[in-house]
Amino acid sequence: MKEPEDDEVALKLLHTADWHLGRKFGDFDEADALKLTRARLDVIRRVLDLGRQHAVDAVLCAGDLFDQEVPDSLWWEGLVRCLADRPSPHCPVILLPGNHDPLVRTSVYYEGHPFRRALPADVHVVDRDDFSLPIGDEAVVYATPCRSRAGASDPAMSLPERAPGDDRIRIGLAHGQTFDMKKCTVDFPIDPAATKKRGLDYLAIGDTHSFREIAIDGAGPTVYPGAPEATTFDEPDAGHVALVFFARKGRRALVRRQRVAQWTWRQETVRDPTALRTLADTQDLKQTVLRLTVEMSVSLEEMSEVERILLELKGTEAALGRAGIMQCKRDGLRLDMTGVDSSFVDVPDVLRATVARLKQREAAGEGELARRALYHLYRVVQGGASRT
Amino acid sequence: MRLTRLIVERFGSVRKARVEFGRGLNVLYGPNDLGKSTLAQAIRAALLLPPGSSAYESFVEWGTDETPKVELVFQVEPGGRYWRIRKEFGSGAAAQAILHGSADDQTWTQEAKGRKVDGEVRKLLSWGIPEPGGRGGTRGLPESFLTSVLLAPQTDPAAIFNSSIDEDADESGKKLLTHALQALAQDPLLKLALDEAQRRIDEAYTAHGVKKRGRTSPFKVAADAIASAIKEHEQRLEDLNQTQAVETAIEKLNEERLFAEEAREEAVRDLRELEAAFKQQAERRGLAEKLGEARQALAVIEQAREEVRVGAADESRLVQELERAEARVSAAEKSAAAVEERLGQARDELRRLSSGDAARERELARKTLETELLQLQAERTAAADLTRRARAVGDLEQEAEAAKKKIAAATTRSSALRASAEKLQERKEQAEHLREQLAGLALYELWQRARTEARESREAQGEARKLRAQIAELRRGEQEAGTGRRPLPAPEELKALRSLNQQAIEAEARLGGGLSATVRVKRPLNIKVSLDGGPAKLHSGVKLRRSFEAESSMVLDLGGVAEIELSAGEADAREKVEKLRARWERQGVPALKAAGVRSFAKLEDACREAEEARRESAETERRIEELERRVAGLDGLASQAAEVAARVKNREQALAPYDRDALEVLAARLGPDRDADVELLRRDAGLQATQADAERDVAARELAGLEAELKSLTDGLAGIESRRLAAVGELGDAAWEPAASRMTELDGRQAQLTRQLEALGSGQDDAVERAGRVVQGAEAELTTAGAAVKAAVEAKETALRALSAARGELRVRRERAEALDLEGARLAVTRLEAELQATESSDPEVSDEDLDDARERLDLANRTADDRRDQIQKLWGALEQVGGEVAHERERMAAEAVTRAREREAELDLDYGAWRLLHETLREVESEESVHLGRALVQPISERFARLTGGRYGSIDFEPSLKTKGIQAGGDTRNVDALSCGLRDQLATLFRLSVAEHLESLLVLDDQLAQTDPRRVEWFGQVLRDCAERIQIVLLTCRPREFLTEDEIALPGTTVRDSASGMLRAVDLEQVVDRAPLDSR
Repeated sequence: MKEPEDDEVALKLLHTADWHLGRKFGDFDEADALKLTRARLDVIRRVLDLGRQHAVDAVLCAGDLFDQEVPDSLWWEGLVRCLADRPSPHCPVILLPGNHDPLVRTSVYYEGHPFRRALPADVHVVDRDDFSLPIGDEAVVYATPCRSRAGASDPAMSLPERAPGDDRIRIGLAHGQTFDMKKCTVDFPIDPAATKKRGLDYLAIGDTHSFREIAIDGAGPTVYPGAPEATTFDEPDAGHVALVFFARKGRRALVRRQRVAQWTWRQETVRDPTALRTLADTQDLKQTVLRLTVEMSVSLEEMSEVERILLELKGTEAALGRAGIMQCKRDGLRLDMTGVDSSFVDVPDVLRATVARLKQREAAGEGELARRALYHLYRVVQGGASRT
Repeated sequence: MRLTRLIVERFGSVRKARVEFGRGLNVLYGPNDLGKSTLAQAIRAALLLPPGSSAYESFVEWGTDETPKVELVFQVEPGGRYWRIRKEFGSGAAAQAILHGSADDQTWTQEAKGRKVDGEVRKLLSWGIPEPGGRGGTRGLPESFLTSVLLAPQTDPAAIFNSSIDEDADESGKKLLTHALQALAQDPLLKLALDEAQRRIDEAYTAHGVKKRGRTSPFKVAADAIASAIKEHEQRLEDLNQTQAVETAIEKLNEERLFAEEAREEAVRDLRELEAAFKQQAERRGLAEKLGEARQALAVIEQAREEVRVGAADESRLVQELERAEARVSAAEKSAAAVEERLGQARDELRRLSSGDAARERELARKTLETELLQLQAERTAAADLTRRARAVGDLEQEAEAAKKKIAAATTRSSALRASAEKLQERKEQAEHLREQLAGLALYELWQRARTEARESREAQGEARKLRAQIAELRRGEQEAGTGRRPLPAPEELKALRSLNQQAIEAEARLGGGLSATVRVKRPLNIKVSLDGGPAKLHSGVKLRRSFEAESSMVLDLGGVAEIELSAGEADAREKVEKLRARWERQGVPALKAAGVRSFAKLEDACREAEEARRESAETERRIEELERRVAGLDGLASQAAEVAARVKNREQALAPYDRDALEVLAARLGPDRDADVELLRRDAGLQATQADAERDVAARELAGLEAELKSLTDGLAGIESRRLAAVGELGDAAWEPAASRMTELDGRQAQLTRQLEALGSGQDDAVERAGRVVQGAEAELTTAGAAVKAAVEAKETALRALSAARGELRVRRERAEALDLEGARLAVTRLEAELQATESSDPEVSDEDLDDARERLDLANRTADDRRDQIQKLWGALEQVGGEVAHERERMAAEAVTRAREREAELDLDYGAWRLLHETLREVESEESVHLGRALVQPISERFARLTGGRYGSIDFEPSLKTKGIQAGGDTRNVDALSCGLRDQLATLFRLSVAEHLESLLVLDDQLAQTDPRRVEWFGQVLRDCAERIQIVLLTCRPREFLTEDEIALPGTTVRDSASGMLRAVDLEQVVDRAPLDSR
């Protein structure tokens, strides 16, 4: 979509949501989990910088900005630094409590929390049900916060209707799930036609981590920008913010999806060594969170190569991996026992006898253990005993 | 092993000495007779000699009775624990020993005392020396292959060469050495594999093969990660469970709310339907009323029409009457005119008679007149009769017509009443039929109930049969299970046996493991051996020797000549074991026998199984009881079958008069509140019947009246008709009107003739008189005619007035009738009839009570729906706090983290398990393919010896037991005895050095290499320095400069000098040894 010229634009907004600052990634190795957790704060700087580059009139942050309502001080202090250090010119930033970080008495958003005191003056927290903030003379933002982790009321429908004669650009800001989504009934259901019913030119919402635009004929769009950094592998359109332009003429919202994520989450399954080699050799995976499933039956030599490649992808204490972050499921990696003997031709008798004994054990029910032991022996014989 | 410190008091020639050892080569030097060998002996005594052994006597300071004391501090593993032995040698209570352990050589804890000290030390050393009191124990200083090699006193090398490890009284030395030398014999690749596997195993497992749980253990890290993930997951799961509980409750309440709302909608619908029906009912009533009114209006119009018609008829009649009156007037006038004419004539006659000729003429005239009068009178009589009869017929016809109309009206009404009465009768019958049916309904329901009971009873019989079969099956199973059971100890008894068994195991463990006996026979001998209390086994014709091993006890029957009983452990421990064994024999063995098992573990298994079986049995019993209860219930039900069948039959008979199909339909019509419905129907039917009856009575009464009236009318009509017929018969064809006018005419003529006759009758005078009378008569007649004319005119006027009045009335009626819209009224009736028909419904009537009930139901449904909504609202409050999708998401993440942590642990398990398996397999294979120990030493010793001798000698042969076989020299194998003393000493030293190196153990060299030339001594010095990098060597010598440079010799006045590397320590024994005075020796 072509960005309108500045003089054609009545209002520019940056709409983001679902930062989930402080989220832990317990299913990853500690170091990788840390990278992912840190990335959630790093991306905020890029988001704010993008807003500055586009000289937006306001930054709307549509909830779930923290992973929980009482985050560790590291996270709210980090966010305060991001907001305070952002380069000029500044525009208003509106922070909305979502269902992960609802506005409760103990919440980081609650009046009196050090986070609130530390926020720059142009950062506004939606701490009232009838929150509104004019953006210049031509626009106004209405918002309502989540006050609990679950709720059955439609936050968008609680926004005020357009008053007769009010020809300003009306923006709604809310957090919840549109009716078409599973579980929407408990997670603040949002009527996709709320823009029409409430006379809104744009409804900025958060909750779903993938970018999504819901258009209703004759009404402004409802948009999920998604999480700026994905949190799982099943969020295909995560990693974006929405840049929203309102043309002077017609005042119709033009929405542009802008990628800001550092990490690309990707799941791959390789079923032969060639596919693994291709993946490792031909693709730049530095910024990829890779979930690799290995399902193949290989010879000892191939196993050694597969292990080497996996190690190169994953990295070691001494060297960064070729993949930024890797989670490997290797239950399907099997040693093909056919021809194992040929890998131990020039070894002492005692080792050959050991191989034979391990083969017997493999056949007698100690399959996986015996296969792995054979692989260890093979690696020792090959002089490369220092596998992971 | 490394020595740290030696302290000696009153030991042989040494009164007191304290030596601190370095970790490498320790050169302890001093002149001859200073006590160097005494120190070596002190080391041996500390390590090997029990304090109470009589051998101590050789160490007692000469000329004194003081007990020798020695203290030795050492480490078995480099960096391992420090051990300190303190021994005071003597007899009886004077002999003391104590063993301390320490982690830092500072803080000591006691590990053993007294006789146990040597046992502990020998276990620590594993040098092949049995524990004191055990098999092969000696009373003096014990010796083994390794004590000879490592601590050899100044003996000749032959003792080393001829030493065999197979001759050790204990296997520990051989095991230790085998382990060390196997490594020596290993292929480098095998060693690499073993080392790598061992390294990996050491990372993860303890020496006992248990997973390490220390901070650095990979398993610990993985387990911590799992524990942490599980903890997190449990917390999330708890949140989720709360969420799900609330969600489930909300879902349930939502369902209930939906039901309630459905019920409410239904109630609203019902109410609306009832209200609509009620309204329709009211409308129907309104329509009926309107129809009644319309019909009434129509009747009024028809009445008006009828009145017009009647008026018109009246008018016609009056017109006729008028016409008749006019005719009568005309006739009267004519008659009056005739009378007037006759009067004129009479007056003329009178005038004529008053003249001459009149008498004749009068006679003639009289006769003519009399004749004519007679004829006229006859004609008049006939005419009068005819007129009378014609009038009578006309009257009768009118009367008959009126009667017919009345009859027709009465007949129509009668038919209507009959139809109505029939309908009412039908209604009544229907209502009565319904009442009868309702009366039969109870019977029908009782019959149905009885049928259901009969069916249930039949089913109960079937079910009871099945349950009995099940019970029998369960009992059979229970019996079979019980049959195979053996008596087992009760839980308390089992607990006591467990404790006893545990005590026995612990006590036996305390005895220490391992007895070994070697019987050397001098002639073939039968040996019967019982090991560890097991059955005796006969070894026939044992030659030379035979070794036996047992864990704790051994009984050897030597050819029936002697029986030797060996037991491990100290006497009190053995005694305890014996007691426990005896207790076990008394208590445990009978229990095992009774249970038919061989071990306590099996007994426990059997008890567990029995407990399980008991639980199953209890469960079976419970099931049987339950089934029996059910059977009893069913039997009760089944026993009523006959009674129920009779009841069914009775009720069927009672139900005979009723139509069962209709009753079934009726029963199906009843709602949940059956009694109320029945009552309602009964009341309604009664009302209908009563109402129909009342209406029918009214109709019947009216009909009876009508019938009577009709009969009267019919009878009347018949009379009229017969009279009319008779009159008509009499009348014949004559017309009434001409007869009437003729009559009038005849009356006039008769009167005229009479008067003429009268006039003629009296003669002239008479004639004149008569004429005068005629004149008078005519005048009177004229008066009468005038009166008649007058009367006729009056009658005509009356008729005219009546006609005018009738016409006026008729006009008014017509105007009124025309003002009424007959067609409109008919259409209105038709329309209303159609509307009424359209609104007719077979639905029951809706009463106010019905509406009240419906409103009440709606109110209840509203309250229920509101209540559910309130409850949902409250639960929402809870759900808002616990989480919704947030809780689900967090639980999913936590569960995934647990899975990943478990996968990581499984991968670690697999990886380290594989290393362990590899290590075990390598060891197994290696052990099976084990080389003999001597071969392992060939290479290092041969190489060193070759270097020492400049290659003059080849490899050295050893026996498997490490006894030296020979040496390759000049292409032959030569006996080492053939070597020179010096060379044998050097070879023995190299042998000892190699063994010590591979054991990584201390080596004490007491004045060795005395007959070695300086060049080789120098070579040895270097070899010793090299070896001291790996092992500790204590070299006792009187020639320090052969091994030390001047820079390494202890400075005058100092006791010790260490090299810069710390691997060499020179100890001037003259400075540390307080030698006993010579005279005291």
